[in-house]
Amino acid sequence: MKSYADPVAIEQQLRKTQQEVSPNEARTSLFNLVVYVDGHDDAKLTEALNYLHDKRPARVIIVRRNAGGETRADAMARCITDKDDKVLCIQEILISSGDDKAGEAPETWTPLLIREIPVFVWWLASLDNAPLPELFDDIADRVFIDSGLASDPLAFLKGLAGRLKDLKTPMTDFAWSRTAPLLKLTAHAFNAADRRPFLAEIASVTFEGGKTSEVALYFQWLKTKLDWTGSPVAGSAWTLVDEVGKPVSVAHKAPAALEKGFEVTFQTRSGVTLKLKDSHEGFAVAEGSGLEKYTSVFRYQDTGEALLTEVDRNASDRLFLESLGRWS
Amino acid sequence: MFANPLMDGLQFAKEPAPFVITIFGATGDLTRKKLVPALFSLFLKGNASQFKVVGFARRPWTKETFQTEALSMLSGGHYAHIPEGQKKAFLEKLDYVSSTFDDPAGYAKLAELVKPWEGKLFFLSTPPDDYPTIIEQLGKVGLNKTDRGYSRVIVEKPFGRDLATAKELNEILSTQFEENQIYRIDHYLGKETVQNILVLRFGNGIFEPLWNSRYIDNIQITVAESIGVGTRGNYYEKSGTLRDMVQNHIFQLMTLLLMEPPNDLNPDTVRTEKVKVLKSLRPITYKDIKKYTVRGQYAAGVTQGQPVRGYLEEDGVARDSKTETFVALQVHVDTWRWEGVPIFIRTGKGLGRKVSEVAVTFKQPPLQVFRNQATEGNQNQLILHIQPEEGFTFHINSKIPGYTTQVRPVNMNFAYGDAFGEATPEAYERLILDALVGDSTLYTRRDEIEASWTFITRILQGWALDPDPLPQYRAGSAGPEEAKALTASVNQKWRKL
Repeated sequence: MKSYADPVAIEQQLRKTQQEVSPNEARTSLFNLVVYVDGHDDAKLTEALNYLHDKRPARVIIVRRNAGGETRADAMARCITDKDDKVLCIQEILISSGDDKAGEAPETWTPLLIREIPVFVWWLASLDNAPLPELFDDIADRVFIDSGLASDPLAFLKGLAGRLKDLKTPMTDFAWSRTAPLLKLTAHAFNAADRRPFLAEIASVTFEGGKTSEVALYFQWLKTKLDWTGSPVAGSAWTLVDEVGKPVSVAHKAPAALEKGFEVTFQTRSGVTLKLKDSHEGFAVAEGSGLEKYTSVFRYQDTGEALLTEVDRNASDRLFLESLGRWS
Repeated sequence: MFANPLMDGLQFAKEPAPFVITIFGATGDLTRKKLVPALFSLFLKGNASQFKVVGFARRPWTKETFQTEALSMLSGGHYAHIPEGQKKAFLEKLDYVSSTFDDPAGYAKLAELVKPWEGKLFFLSTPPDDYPTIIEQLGKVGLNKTDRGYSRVIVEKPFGRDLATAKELNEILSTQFEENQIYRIDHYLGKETVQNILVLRFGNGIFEPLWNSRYIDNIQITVAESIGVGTRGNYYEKSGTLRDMVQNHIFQLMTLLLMEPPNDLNPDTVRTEKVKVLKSLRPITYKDIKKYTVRGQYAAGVTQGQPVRGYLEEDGVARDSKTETFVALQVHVDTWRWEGVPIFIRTGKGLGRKVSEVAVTFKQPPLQVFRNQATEGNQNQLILHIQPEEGFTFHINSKIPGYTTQVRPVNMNFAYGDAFGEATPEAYERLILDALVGDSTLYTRRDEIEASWTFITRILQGWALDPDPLPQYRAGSAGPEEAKALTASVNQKWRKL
């Protein structure tokens, strides 16, 4: 019978490779991470695994979609010896899914999972028509996505929001993770007692920089927390309504990668302006008309850090679900 | 006042506001080995970015000398891989005041240096005799108070020699600082495994229902050192094992093990529950001193393959010293939960192995249905390993494969090191960060200190009246033979070292 990825052979190969790399006692894998990638475009994955390498031993199964030819599997281990002379390994199993697409089917790789530890599926492939997360309902503890990879992020997020209550597998969106430092900055910038009243009289918010999904999620968060209503619509400017029925216009300008910088401008109905911007020197500043300048350490979380945060966390981010849940 | 709904649900790491930390006794070993590395680590991890470190000591160093010395503290080992730029950025935050502890001019200079900072933390890393002077001088220049931010003081052990001196020290501190400004450090509480006792007990549903006298037979706490007193003979002569280990570290462990579930993790809620345990300790009075306590001194022997001198031959030790290097205690906590459960404590120097652990022994099943089951050594035990390997072992009984039903204990092991790839933070890192953000959960409160000294002072007084010579034990052994009587009184044995 044909075997795409023979579990016994793979385990032997992993053991052998690990022994060759380092004969010392290895630390136990903490989780399984199954990553779906398209073709060879996996720079993000490499960056993330390099970051995890000396921090969390894990089994990583990479499913390369559309690899052509026959579906095949290979295994290797990347190991590092820690200060206690124990070995931390990332065991990598690469499944190249051939023309028959057999490698994409969970049945191909589920026998390769280590039992009794969490299974995370990271969908790093195209999100358009992706079978998420339902395909992994009986297998994964959580599914990671990046809504920024969708060709129409607003439509994708709207679709996800609409299915939220039926989803059985918790999800994490790395686009949301990237906004986390910005949410904290915003919350802090309005936290001084004399600034809190401004939150009730915001008339407009303009976000320069960032990608559509990040900015949409940021606006969703503001909307949820400040009890605004209205939905994001196609285009870059929406009008929402605040809790006393006044309009709040939100706009996204100059889309770009968030880590290239941002400027968020809040204007209140009483004419106060508060700008949050990245200094590009490791801190961010909030300043505005007649307001004392607020400075805070600010750094973006790269994909590796975001991944580490997520594999250590055992639940979805409540704020993400709340914000997404109030889409319409 | 308006609430800020944007703060709701955000996960904030412990990020202290800008602060200045002044280390009194900055030229000492603690600064070199623990404090500077801890602050550097917090800096590298991004937990501390806007801060200044001021060294305050008698040596005629300059700011530059302190920086050079600090650089040497951050050299070699894993520091070799850290970019020089990061070290330089850290060293630039260091400053130094050369002064005796009683010179007002030194404090005036210090006051100028720390004035711009809202958060002020003072770390007393000096001999305790210097505490009163430092506290008084800080008060005189007004550094004990602040109009904005905070002023806090961390006090190192030993915190007193007995109840009277501990109270006296508390009084001195309270003349200049409020209780919520005082952080009495016990680095044992900074250890991950010790903190994990709370998670084990209250974060799991399985243990707490069994955590009482109905199911637990006895508890053993062992903190054993294989080395002797080495060059610390002088210090040890004034201290002894009971003061050095039991009053602080072991009692902290014990209170976390025996406390009632707190309603929340508010520092005072947790500490109030810990104090209740200490106040429920059944006093060991003079007449019971031989029944519930054993002390000893190590004699010449071999530990870790090396010959070791006897305690009385160590440098700085009086030849007729009666200072104990070993203590074993049987204590009882008079509460509903722990009635009838003996707690055995054993700690000392020059023992066979360096090990810190807690062994919780469960009672036998009410009916032995397996006739072939041995009656000895088959009680379920949960061992919490603290040093050197952090983790748990659970001894359970299992059937030996074969045609007959023979039972023998097997182990279920869990090692933290295997489960988490990252090194755990050093105790001082965690504790300093807590003090900076105002979280005093892992620090000892005044009533906690006084309750533990109340119990310990009775034993010290009992021992002072005991004319018998101290039992000796060979270095490298498990302690004096006399200690066996404590556990034997309830048909138990000490765990093997």
